[in-house]
Amino acid sequence: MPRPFITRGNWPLAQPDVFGLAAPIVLGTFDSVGTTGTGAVPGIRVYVADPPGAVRYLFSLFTLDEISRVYVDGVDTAGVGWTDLTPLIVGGCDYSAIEFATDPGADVAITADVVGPLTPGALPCAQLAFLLDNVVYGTYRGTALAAAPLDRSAFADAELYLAALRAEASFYLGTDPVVGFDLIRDWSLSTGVRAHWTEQGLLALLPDDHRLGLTYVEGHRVGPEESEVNQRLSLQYDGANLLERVVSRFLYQPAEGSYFFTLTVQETSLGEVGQEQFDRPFSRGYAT
Amino acid sequence: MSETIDLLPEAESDLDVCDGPDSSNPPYCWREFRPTGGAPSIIDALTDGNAGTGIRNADFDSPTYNGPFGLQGVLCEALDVPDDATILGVRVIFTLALGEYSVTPAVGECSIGRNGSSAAKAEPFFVSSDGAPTITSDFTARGPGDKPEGAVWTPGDLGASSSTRLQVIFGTDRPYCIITSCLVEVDVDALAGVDAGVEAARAISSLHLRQYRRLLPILTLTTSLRRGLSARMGDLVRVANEAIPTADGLGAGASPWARWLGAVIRKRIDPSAGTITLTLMGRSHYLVRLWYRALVNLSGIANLEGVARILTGQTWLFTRAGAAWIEDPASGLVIAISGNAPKIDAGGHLIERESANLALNSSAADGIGSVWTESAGVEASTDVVLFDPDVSAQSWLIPTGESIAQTLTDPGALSPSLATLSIDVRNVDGNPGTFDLQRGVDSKFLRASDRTWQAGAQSNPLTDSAEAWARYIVAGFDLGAAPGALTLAIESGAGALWVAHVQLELLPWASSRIVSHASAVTRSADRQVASNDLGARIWPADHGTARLRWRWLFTAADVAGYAFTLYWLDYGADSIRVYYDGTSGELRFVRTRSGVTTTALLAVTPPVRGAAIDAVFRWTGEAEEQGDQAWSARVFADGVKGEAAVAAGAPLESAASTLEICSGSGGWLDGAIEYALISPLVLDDATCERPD
Repeated sequence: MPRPFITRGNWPLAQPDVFGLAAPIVLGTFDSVGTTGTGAVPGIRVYVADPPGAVRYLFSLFTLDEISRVYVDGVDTAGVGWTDLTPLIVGGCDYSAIEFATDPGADVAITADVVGPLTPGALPCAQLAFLLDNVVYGTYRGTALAAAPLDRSAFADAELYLAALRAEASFYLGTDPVVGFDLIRDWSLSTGVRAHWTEQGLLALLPDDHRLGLTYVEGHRVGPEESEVNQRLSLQYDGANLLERVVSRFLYQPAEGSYFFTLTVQETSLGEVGQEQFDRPFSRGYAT
Repeated sequence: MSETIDLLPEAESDLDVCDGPDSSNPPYCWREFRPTGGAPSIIDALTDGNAGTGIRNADFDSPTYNGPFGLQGVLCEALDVPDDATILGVRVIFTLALGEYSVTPAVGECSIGRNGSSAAKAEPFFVSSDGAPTITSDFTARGPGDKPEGAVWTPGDLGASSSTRLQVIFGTDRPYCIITSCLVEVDVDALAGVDAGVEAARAISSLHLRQYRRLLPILTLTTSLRRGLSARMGDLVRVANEAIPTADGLGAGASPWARWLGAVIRKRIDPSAGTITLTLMGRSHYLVRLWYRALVNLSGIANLEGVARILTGQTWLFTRAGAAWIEDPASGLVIAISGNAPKIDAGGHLIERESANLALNSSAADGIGSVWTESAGVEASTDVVLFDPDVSAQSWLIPTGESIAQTLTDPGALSPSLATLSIDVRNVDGNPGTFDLQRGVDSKFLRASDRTWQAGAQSNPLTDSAEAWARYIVAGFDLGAAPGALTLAIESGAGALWVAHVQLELLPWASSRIVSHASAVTRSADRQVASNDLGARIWPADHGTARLRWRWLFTAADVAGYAFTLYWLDYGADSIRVYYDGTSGELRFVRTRSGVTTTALLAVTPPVRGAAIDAVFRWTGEAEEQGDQAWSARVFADGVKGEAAVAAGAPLESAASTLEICSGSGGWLDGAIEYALISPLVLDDATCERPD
């Protein structure tokens, strides 16, 4: 999926070790208070003044709503020693970055708790649409210049369904290149909502809604016409993925590179038929 | 995240519009309340000691608090709390001054309702002397004023808009009684942070598990473009064709309810052939309003680790005042859990009524010598323990021929007087110990074999635990109406005996362990409810199936006269009650519509403590599903199908209602839930007799 990379052309004062990294993207809130307390999102050292002076750290492509706290080696700076440069426009793109007047050191980890775009309500579907609009189909700006071919109605329906499940999301797209399809797959794993193409060529979301009422509508009645086509109707059973236990990991903190919470649901009556574990990169990024 | 919102009176100037007793004024003498923190507040005026200010009963001409006149009330600020919040408490706390013309005693009512509605619930108060007593009227357990008694509070009941906000009304039978301070306390537990993340993860993971826990039926259907094009991805379709396998072997039927139910998961168009191929995934097992798997083997009460649960967005609430003790499903140790935490025990989710342990220092938590009398050689064992060390770090190790004894507090007059003694013991060499229980009224001893009282010590043999902990139980013996002080002695046999816990309770079965210290401890009753309000009902009105699988805590012969609730829905005049009747030994599915009660029942295998039962309750609508008459109900239990009971229609739902699960209507399950399910589908006989 297209994303600006950190290149010497755009960031001439960066050190070579960051060249080639994709610009990270933060959506929703990442807050380490209540978990590690050492900053949830890593900063990338993209500007080192020469002679030594100010140093800049990049947190996200696009404009973050707020950089709440900055940590130096896991210690909260209490807002001292740095300034928020957001929005920092480089190569025509908006970035969120901070500047230290004095270099904390090349080997010092700079992290932050941040509030990214699409935080109100932390809507998972809106976040996926944002990425598809602005990155996969877009031009890397804060507003959608090229609208993705999305079934907006289906996105809205799926959002209501996820709200009923109390699903909220924060998302951190790291510095490794990601294929757009993988993004959608990760989102689907996180939410349990599947994506599909419609006959109109739009990408739609399909929640498997267990809440449906049951009215006995006429539905499809298969008559002789269909029988002639299909010969005989029979049920096939898919037994390849039988499960007795599902383990999901959530509350991702990119700076730690790990998830902090794991929840298992199980059905002990089935015996050892299988377990599935999945990470939910689109999940809450804060515990407080 | 739990917070308490205190609502205090609004501006002091509000008093100006109601500055004294005035029979023409009272109905309009409302006070506006708002969340605390704002200023100024008339709380100062209310507490200034001036009998002329405050909230008065102005109906001095007709000292009654019935009817609209003479009432004084307050309107609360509209509270907009998150939809997924849980309301843990609603209380009105007020101080009453009798005023210069008032006399004692003063009686009255504090009522709670909604702005614009006459429906209210009232809590009486009584003031026996002069002074300014502070009175708390707790409406938590009673529910909102406009819902049935005992309904669960939901965020919507707090009134998100000014037209539906809470109102509190006071009335007394004495003129010039004055409310000098008042606040409405609302405890809100809003899901936030990790809790919200956990519940979202549980919902998504549970749906995944529900989908892939059994073989998924897939139907591939090729049909004409004309028919197939209208089917969109995800659409639910019902297919009728005699070639589709069904439990009755007749194929998916012509009746709409009998058609095979699937969802479109793939769609392939072949323009050249003029056909469209739909791949349908069976959906019958997936449509649930409630799915709850409470039998787990993981630790983690706080997060309900292991528990799968699917709901439709309603409030789900466990409540219990105070701590309880359960067997941790993973470690097997008995652990303590705090109030309002569900009792996810190794045997399932325990729902029990209140019970007290009359034995003191029941678990050696205070040391082996506290309260108990020991003979020589009795030791504290810290390496052979039943409890988590945070509950009790030791057990009694009684060497051969030694004993421990305790004289219990006289329980006084008893009615009923059935009791149960349980002792957690462990022995290693096939030599279980013995016990004696003596009552003070006649100095007789309990003979456990026939549960009678005999002259002379009985030395009742305890369970041979075979080198593991075992809970010895003698249930349902009659202490007598006034047994006097009870003396319990436990003696080892030919080998050493460990004792971890002793419990004597006034129930005809042994409930979960109750850890006492220097005084008797009462474990409060459990309550488990879910909102069943309009728009998000769990219990389908017209047709559906409910299942419950649980383990009994009692044995049939002991529980005549008791009722054990499985499900309870109070719609006001109409209701649905599902319970086990201890007298008749029947499961009963009782539906009340317009005062007419219809009961489907089924006698079940007499309960034995620890045994499980699988019960299914099925009701039909006007479509006459599964061949039963319209509006009929049946009970299935462990493969046995009961007779249908036919009603004139479904109970009429009230707009707001609460589904009580294994508590309510004066009963409790007194058992451990393993599995609960409620579906709008009317399952066929084969599934009900052998539920999946």
